[in-house]
Amino acid sequence: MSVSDNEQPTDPRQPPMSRVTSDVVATLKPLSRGEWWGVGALSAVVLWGAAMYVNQLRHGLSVTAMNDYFSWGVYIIDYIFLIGIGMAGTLMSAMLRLTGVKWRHPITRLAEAVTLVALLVAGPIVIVDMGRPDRFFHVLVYGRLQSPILWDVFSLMTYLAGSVLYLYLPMVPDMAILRDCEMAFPAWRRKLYKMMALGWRDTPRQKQRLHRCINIMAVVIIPVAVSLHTITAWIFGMTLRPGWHSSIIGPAFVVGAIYSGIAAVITVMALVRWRFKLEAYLTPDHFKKLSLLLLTMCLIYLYFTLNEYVGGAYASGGSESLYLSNMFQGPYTLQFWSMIMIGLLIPGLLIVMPWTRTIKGIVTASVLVNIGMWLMRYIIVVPTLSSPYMPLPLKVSLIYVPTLTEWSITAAAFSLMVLLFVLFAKLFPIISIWEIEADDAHAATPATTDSRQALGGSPCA
Amino acid sequence: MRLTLFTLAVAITFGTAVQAQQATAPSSRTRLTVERTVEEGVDLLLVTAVDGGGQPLEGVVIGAYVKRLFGELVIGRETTFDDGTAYIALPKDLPPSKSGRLSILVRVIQPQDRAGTQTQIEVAGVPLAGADEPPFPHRALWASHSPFLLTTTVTVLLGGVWLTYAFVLYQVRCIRKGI
Repeated sequence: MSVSDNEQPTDPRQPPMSRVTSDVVATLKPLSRGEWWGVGALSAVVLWGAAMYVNQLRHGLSVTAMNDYFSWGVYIIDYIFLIGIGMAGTLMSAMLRLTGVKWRHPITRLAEAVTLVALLVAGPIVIVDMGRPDRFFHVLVYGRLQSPILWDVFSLMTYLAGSVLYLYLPMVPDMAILRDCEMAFPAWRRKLYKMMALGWRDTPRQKQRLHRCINIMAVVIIPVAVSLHTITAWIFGMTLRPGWHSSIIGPAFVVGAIYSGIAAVITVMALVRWRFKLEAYLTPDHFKKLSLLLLTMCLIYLYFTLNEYVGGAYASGGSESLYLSNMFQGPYTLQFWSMIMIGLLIPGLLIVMPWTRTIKGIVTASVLVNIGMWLMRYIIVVPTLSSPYMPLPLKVSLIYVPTLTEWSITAAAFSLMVLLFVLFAKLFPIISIWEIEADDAHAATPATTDSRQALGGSPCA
Repeated sequence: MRLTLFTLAVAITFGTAVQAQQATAPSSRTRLTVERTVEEGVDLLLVTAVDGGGQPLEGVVIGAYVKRLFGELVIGRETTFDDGTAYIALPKDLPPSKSGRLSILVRVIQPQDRAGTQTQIEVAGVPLAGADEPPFPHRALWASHSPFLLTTTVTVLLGGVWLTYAFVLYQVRCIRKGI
């Protein structure tokens, strides 16, 4: 994963690298000492989580706070949160691509990479939740097509495959640029770039095919992304439980996913900008535009939340009342009102007010949104399970407090996600070189051709 | 020579078996007969237990069972009278098989030395209202088959998406081949 300037002599026949290429290739340099410390710390958390998982495998789910009443806990909360983040990256990229928005170029790959790493972590979390890993095999072999759980498995696999394709296709010209440029990469990396470049020679036929593929995938991936989170919502919504059995749960999940996903992309964008010194590409304008998208989703989600709880509170009775009182003034009050404040109101205010709509303010809002939306998933899962329709045996208290095992595995999952992203960012260009070069070329020459048609240009030129 | 030895071995084997069968006293063997009868409007199984000599066996405990998917369902248990007969009531709410028949197994439970002797009878069952319907509604999560419309919808949607992926992969192959 290292880039060494001294390992191979540069080829004097090759053209000099463009400014964009040299800036982006600089991000592929080896990790600094400080970065190694960060990677080491994250790896330690992952290893700790792996050890706790082995302990869970040995002793079963009794090491968690899940029981007969709380059949779902933090693991499922993590799953919903992660696929939410995973949904938004590719969805946002696809929508911006289809609408021809040019400012998307520096952020699309980053958003797509966030999707990929989130999905790669989200899938195994479900297996952790199952307790015994072989149960996943049972889902595939004995699963009932009538069950939304099986639809979710199909949908997740389909979306993961589509996201990989959609991430890879726009990378092909960049792989050719890295394959041909004078930067001395280790032999295995050159081989990897050569393989992934698919013999790209920038011919009109190749450009036409690639353009067609990217557009097709951009169209297909949008319904697949929406279906994934809708089906996840149906797993809840098709169960007769207070708080879940609601007709707006599907759209609410989708909006929540886009909301948290945009926040995650902004957070990652800020980190990439700061760490890789890409201020020239990830500009304050990008942050402002994404923050307006974030604000839009914030308002829509606020609207959904209002609909969900006001309707329930007005006409509630029995378990529904218990469910709402648990949140409004019961054991889950802190989580609920924190979610409302941290996840919706404060970020909204930070973006609405012009003097806080700076990069720092926007990133702060995004981090708060991510915390708030994790809490929102907690609110979706836990209070419902603590409000059963059936009467409880005496002396049974339905309070869910996650154990150290659950927190450890959660921390490991998020650390693994960051590690996978770092691996990606150090192996592949985190922003699209050829698309930005095409933009630059388009800006330099007053031609009428659409920059999306101008795929690439000569490598390293 | 070989043929002689083989013949001898067969003779010894079967001869021994025949001798063993003959060694069992007729009185220790048990024969069961079952017939269906109706007395005073009640559907009954009339079971008769006799020994090898045809003498009725008194005080033999008889159990009657119906064969079901996962085992045998007990429908009654009675002790024979001095004439070797016992009456076991046949429940009216036993759903028959698709052919309308009930397969009933009658078995000696006690005494121990006669236990295990059994016989089987096929009787016409009374079709129950709704017995032809599947045990679970079609839309139940645990129904054996998913509704056709659901299967078709899922297959078409997933198939459509994966076929598109296949087309894109074909295009990728064309890019690589320079076609």
